[in-house]
Amino acid sequence: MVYQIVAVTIKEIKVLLRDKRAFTGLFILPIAFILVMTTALQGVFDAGGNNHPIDLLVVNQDHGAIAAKVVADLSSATGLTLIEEQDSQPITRAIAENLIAARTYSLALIFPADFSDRIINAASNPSAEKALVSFITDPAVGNQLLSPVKGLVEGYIDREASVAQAPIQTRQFFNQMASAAPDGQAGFIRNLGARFAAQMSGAQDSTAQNLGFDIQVLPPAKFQAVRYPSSAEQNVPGYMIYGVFFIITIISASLFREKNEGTFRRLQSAPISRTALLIGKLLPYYLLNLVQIALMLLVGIVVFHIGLGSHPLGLVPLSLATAAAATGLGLLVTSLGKNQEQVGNLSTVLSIVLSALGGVMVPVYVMPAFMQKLSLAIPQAWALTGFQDVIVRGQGFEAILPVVGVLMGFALAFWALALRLFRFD
Amino acid sequence: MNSEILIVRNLSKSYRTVSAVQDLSFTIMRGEIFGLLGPNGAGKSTTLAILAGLLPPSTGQITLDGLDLSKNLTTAKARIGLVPQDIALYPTLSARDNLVFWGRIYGLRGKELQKRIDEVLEIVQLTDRANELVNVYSGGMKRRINLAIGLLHQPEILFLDEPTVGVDPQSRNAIFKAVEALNHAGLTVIYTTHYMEEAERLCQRVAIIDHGQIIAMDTPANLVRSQGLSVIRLSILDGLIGSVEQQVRELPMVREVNRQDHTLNIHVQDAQKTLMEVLQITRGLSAQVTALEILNASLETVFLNLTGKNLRE
Repeated sequence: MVYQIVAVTIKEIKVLLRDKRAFTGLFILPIAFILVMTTALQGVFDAGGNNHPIDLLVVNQDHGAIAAKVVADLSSATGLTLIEEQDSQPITRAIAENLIAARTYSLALIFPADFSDRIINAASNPSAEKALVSFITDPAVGNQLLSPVKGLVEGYIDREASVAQAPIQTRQFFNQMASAAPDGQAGFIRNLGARFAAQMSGAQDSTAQNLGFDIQVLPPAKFQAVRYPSSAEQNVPGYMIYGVFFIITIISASLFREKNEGTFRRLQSAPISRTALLIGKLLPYYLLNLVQIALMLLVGIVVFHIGLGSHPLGLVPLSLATAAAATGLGLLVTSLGKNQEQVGNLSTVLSIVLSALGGVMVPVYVMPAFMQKLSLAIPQAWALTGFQDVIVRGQGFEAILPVVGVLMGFALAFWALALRLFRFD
Repeated sequence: MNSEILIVRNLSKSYRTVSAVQDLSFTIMRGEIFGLLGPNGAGKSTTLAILAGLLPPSTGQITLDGLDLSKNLTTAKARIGLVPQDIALYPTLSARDNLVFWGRIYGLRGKELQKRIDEVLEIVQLTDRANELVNVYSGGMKRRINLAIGLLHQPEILFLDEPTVGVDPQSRNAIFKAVEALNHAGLTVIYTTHYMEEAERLCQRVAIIDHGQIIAMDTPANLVRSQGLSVIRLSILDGLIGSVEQQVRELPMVREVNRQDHTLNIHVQDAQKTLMEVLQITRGLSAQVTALEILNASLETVFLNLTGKNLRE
């Protein structure tokens, strides 16, 4: 029986090696996706990081000093590159708008001429008109890029406005106290207020100020990632899983070819059991899945320098379970159809739709709640979670066992149902 | 040809309301070429599929060289060679790769496998083309490799299901020669076909099947002698065919007349003598003859006599 299984496996590998469509679907397509999508989405995944800072045009029309201080604060922030000049000339609003319209840059920050005046007025007159800071942005730029920059700018403006308003408000407070004080003490209180205000103003080099706090970003303690995922670390496992599950299209085409060409029927006239025949037939696809995983991780490592986490051996059971689920699904899909066209369409749609629902193309966490729940029933989602657990979150063998268990559960269910429904004729 | 190799008793196969094979019983002798003849859909391929273990019978018993097929299917399969009507090959592999694969499935390995591959390639006369991909082969060459696969494991009995359908004369001749040579070497062959000339050339005995039943079984010579009336096939243009049929039936040498639209099949002992009398009738009735054909006694006319229809219908 083993000899016959090996014979079927060798034959299938020879047939596969001559099948350009299978080769394209299983290797070229996912690798192309990995290369293109990882490169294309680098700006989105890594935007704001030291390697891919966000370019921000700055137009400072402020006649006062506060906007300049905000700009100084922003220039010291990581993840932003401020562009204030073009051809040694300060950028004007018109220039900024042209550069964005030409898609040279995506974001511009405009401080109006009366920015400082209005902030200072607001210190003594809370109902005074507020300063209006503008962002000019390409409408195609998503909130994921705009929101963090906007938050950062708001934070620095808030800080510099507070610093500018504090002496004025202090002096006002003491003046009000002096107005209510007996004549002999009023002068003393006013002087005290002026000295406080002067001292506050003198100490207002906000950029050199130690505010007494800093911010750091950490993963949960049980995750052992030393850093957060790059575009490649998100996309390589994602499109690798897409490629692995594309095997259902190739398996169904191959099984129906055997049926249509009469070779399955002829094989049944030979002294080989149906079990041996199916094992021999599907074993190459299982092995092919493992080769796919190894090759695509290699592409990730060589081209995009991704790491494999702190416990790369965890990838072994994960790969074995993912391949078992993918080949089982391939056999099940074949069992559900009556002819090659029907199954061909079904398998193509399934391999794309299930990959999308599984978070391969769009992360599951950005999907609506019902789709997130739906993804729990999608093997691709579990596989992606498992690979990201190891590669991105640095988890080890024990931590990913539940995911491996779920994937093996999918595999067993697919295989059991498929073997019940499969027809050799 | 001295002992029974295959005994079939009361074999039937039904699909819900359709009865594909009905109560077939026959015996095949060792070293015999036995023909299963019948038109498309007669039940030949179903019978062969049951005999080869591809389909379970609804009822009946098959004994292969003393083995009850229902209880010893795997053992029996190793002793059977099946050449199906479909060209069951892997077209993107070479002929040799196909043979290697099928040989391994039958347990052949190493030098023995290579030796058998060389031998069967020699038998089907494709040694010099063995390393070419099957998908560049002609239909006839594919059929020859199809045959070669059935021979690889040196079966005791070979089932050939319509092995010459759609092949060129060169390949057909190569297949005939191969079957004859194998039979001379002692191989038992069951050969299904709807080409009567093939059955007459190759088969020592034939069974004629129609609607899933055997309607005649004997040597081709005995069948022709006992059932093989000559047939005069006469087509009449106008509405006088009824009058012609009535007068022809009264001729002394005419055994039977079948009418199909504007054609009469006139079954006679001696076609040459009766032809003149038939033509005199048409002339006397001023009936316009549009086609005239004489079929001498053969398996073709045996089938026509037995069923009233042509084998290729």
